[in-house]
Amino acid sequence: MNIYFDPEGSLAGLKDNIEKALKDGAGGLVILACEGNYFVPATLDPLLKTVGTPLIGGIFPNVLYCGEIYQYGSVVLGFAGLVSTTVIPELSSEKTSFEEPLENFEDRSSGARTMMVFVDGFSTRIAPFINSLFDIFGLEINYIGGGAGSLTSERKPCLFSNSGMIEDGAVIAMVETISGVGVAHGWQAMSEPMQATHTNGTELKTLDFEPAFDVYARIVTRHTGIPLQRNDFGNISKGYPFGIARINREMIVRDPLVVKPDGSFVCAGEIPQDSYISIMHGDENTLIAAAESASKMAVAALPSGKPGAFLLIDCISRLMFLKGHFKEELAMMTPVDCPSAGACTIGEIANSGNDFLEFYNKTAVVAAMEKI
Amino acid sequence: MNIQIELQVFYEIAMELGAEADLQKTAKKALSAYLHRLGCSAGMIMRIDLSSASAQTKNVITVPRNLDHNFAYREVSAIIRNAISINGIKPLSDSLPLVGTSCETNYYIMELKDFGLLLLLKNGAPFDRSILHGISRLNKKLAQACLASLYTDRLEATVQERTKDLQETNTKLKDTLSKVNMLSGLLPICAGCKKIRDEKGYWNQIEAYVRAHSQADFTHALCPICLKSFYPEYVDADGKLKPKSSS
Repeated sequence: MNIYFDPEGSLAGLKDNIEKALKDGAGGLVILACEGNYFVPATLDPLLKTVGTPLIGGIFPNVLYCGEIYQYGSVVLGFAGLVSTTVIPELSSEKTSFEEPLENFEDRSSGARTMMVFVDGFSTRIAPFINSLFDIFGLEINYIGGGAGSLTSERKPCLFSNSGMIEDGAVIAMVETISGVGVAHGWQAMSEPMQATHTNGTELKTLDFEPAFDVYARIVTRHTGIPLQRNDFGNISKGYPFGIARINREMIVRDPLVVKPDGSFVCAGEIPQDSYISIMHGDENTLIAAAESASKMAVAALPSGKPGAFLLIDCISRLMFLKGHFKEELAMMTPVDCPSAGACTIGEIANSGNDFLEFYNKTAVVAAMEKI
Repeated sequence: MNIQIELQVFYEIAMELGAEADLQKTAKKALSAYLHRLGCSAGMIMRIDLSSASAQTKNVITVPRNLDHNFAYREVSAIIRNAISINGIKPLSDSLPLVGTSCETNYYIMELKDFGLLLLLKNGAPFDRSILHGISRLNKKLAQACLASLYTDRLEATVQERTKDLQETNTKLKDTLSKVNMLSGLLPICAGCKKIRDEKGYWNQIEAYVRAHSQADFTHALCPICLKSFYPEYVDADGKLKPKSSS
């Protein structure tokens, strides 16, 4: 995996880096662009459509390059060898069948070792899509990716393909590059588990039969000693996500993004009806230690143990929570002196072939990529 | 392991069991819940039909669907196949749950009573006894849910088959009925020449009219009275045809 970076986030800079990657022999491209670049279909589509080499990508709140965080800029990842890509449109529609297009894509993806997958982070059927992905592609490949989109929650085209920009979809690239993937978050349960007594997809309406916000506010207020007001929710919630327990595994984190007037939450990712969830908390130390652990897992999972580059998918809410400490997390994610790039995402997708594929929130994902 | 987390997880899995009517959906939903909540990497639900002399096995669902390249799965599948083909299902059932390790993957073959088997593959820490006990309790419910769905599937198949038969019979009946033109009501017939007046006012020969308005056709003959009237030379005193002369 070769990395090309344009810190200005201009169309000309992106075009130059695409040309450089193709000149270096890339068989496929992954583009990670900042929301701050203001890329829109009217200006970007003509460029994307001229690229004959398979490409995917997305727009993210921030991109990461060699230990630094950028609000403007574009990363182009060039992958050698055969790369196949596909686009799944209308991810939120109940009418969209994932199985048929994914089966067709699998037929033309033999020999691939790593799947890069980006979804519109605000699509409502990410969980069934992830389940279909795992069902069809199984354990023989590594998965890495996450949710694209804007922190303003404004729905707009945020995914890239050779046909241009799309919204409410998924883009997938299968590459031959061998990878090792590590996943960890470092959040710990700080409340007793409560039952999600009324949910609807990503919406959590009631906890233990009470409006979810009332229960959440009571517990968080007790923990912080400061009464939680609705207008403070955005600042406080980044440090108090929800967690769904699993046996012998870290909890799956669910990030409450929005609180609605009726006291229900909209979360990044689905909350199963009747599941038990806890409120979680963490600090810089636990989060950064988890990121380091993800990196170690990734390197350990790499057959050669010697990465040529790191691809980092780190949740945007970790950046918002860690603030100045986030660079320490980035440093821990790339312990070896080799190039790294990535994005701050709205939800993370990862699996190293040892677990069921999940859509994570507030999680650090490291992919150690083999040198070619 | 925190007992509270175990209870939560088992409750959540139990809530996913039996919520669907057909077997495929029941099995898929249940297996996904097992894998998600128990931190497993793959699994399979197998139906074992004991109604025939030799046990018939069938994979109801495998998640992910293609595990042929997975060494642990291949090894465990071979264990199951061999056990059933050599000794029949009874010795295998008696030895369940079968727990082992293949290629650093823990495998668990468990009984789904009266239905078949559940296979779970798990990387990392193995399940402890308490979790295995909890899973075995869940498996009883899963087996019941699968059996109920199986019966529903069979019932639906029977209903579909009978409905199809009925539809076919109905179609045949309609087809036959469409070919039968029944003459009914009052027909105006001439008292003298016996012609019938049709709906347009034309007078038709009775043969032509009946032929046009029914599936019947005519073959002509003579009744004894007419025979005697038209051909008296061929009829004896009793009105019977005279035998032909030999010359």
